[in-house]
Amino acid sequence: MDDELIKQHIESPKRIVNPRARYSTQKGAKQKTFNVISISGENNYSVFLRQNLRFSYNFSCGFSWHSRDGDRLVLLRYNGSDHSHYNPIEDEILTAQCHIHRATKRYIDLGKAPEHFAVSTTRFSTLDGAFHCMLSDCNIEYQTTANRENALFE
Amino acid sequence: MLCLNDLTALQTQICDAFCQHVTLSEREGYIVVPLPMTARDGDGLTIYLKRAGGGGWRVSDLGSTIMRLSYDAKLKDVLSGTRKRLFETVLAEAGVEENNGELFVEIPGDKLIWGIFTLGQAISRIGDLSLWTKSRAESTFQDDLRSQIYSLIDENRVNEDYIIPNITSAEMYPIDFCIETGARPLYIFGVPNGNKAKLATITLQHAESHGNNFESMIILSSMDDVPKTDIARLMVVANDLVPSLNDSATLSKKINHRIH
Repeated sequence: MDDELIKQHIESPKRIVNPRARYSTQKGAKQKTFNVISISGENNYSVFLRQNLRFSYNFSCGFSWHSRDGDRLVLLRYNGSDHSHYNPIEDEILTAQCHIHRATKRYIDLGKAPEHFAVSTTRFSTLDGAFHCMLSDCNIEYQTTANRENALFE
Repeated sequence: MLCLNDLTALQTQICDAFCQHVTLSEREGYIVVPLPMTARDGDGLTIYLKRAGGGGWRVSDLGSTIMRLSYDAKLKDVLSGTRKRLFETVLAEAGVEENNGELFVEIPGDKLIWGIFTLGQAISRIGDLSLWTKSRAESTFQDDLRSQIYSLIDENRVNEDYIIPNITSAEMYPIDFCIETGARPLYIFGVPNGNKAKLATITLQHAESHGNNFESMIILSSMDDVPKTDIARLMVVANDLVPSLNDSATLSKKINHRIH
C-alpha cells in the first residue's frame, strides 16, 4: 500500500450502505459503524464513530478499507483534542488539539501503525463535525431520510 | 563514573524535561494530566484526576482506553476468551479497577504519583491487547499445549501430528498428539475454537468408524472460546475433556491417570 493507492482509496466516490445505522452504548462510549462501498463496487470500506460519554473532548471517527481477505486498514482517523500526539519521523508534538491521522507508506515501512502520522486541525471540534469533514474528504455520499426530504423542498 | 555534581545536574535535567511535558489543565470538572507516553499510533495517554473522599484522589482514564480498543475490533471479541483473561490479569496485577469501561485507582493524597504511574502502565499494557488477534492467541495456545504435554509425558511416548496407520485417508485426519500409554493409545486434541472442535469431532468419528482402538482427550483453550454445540458434539465422541489449558492440575491428573 503506497501513498498514491491510499490517496485513490480516500478520494474515490463512495456511498454509505446502511445510512440508518444507530448508535449503541458500550462501556461508557456511544458507537456506530457505517458500511461503505465504492460507487464502482470494487472496494469495501467502513466508518466508525466513537464518543466518550464521560468526557466530550474524547471522540474519534475512523475510515477503513477492507481487503477481500478480510484485512482492515485504517486510512484516516479524526480525533478529538483530549490527548496529544507525537509524530516520531517528523519529531513533532501536537498538544491537545483535534487532529487527523492518515495512513502513510513511510510509517508502514517503519513498522509503525499505518495511520501513525497525524496533523492538527481546526476544521472540527465535535464528533459530528469530524464525521462531516470525513464525508467530504473521503467523497462519501450520505443520504438520510431527512436529507432526502430537505432536498425535495430546495 | 559520574561525580555528584554531574548526577545532580542530570537529575535536574530529567525532572525538568518530565515537567515540561506534563502540563496540567482543567476540563469538564477533571484535572487533565497528559502523560509522557504514547500508544502504538502515537496518540498520547491521558489521565484524569478528581478528588475522592478523605483527601484522596480518583485517578482515571474515563473509559478512553477501552473505547480506543473498540476502534480495531468489536469489544465483545476483544474482551473475551484469552484476551479477556489477559485484561483481567493486567488489572489485577496493577490493582486497577474497572467500572463500565472506566479504568481507575483510588489512592491516598500522598500516593498520587504512584497512582498516576500505576494507571499509566496498566493503560499501556491494555492498549497492546489489540495486538492479540485471534490467530496470535491461538498460536500461543498450541505452543502452551505442546509445552504442557512435554512437561507431563516422556518425549519418547509423544507423537505429534500423528497419522493413524492402516486407515483410509488417514492423512486427512491427523491427531495432534498420540501418547503411548502402555495400554490403548491416547489421542489428544488441542481445541481453541469452533472450527478445530468440528475437525476433532470428525477425526475421532473417522477413527472409530474404522475400528481403531484408542482413548481420546480434548483440551480446550477455554469454554468461552468454543461454541456450546461444538463442545456438546465433542463430549459425545471423546472419552475426556479438560475445560481449560490453564487448569494444569486437572490436565496433569487426567493424563497421568492414563499413563501405565
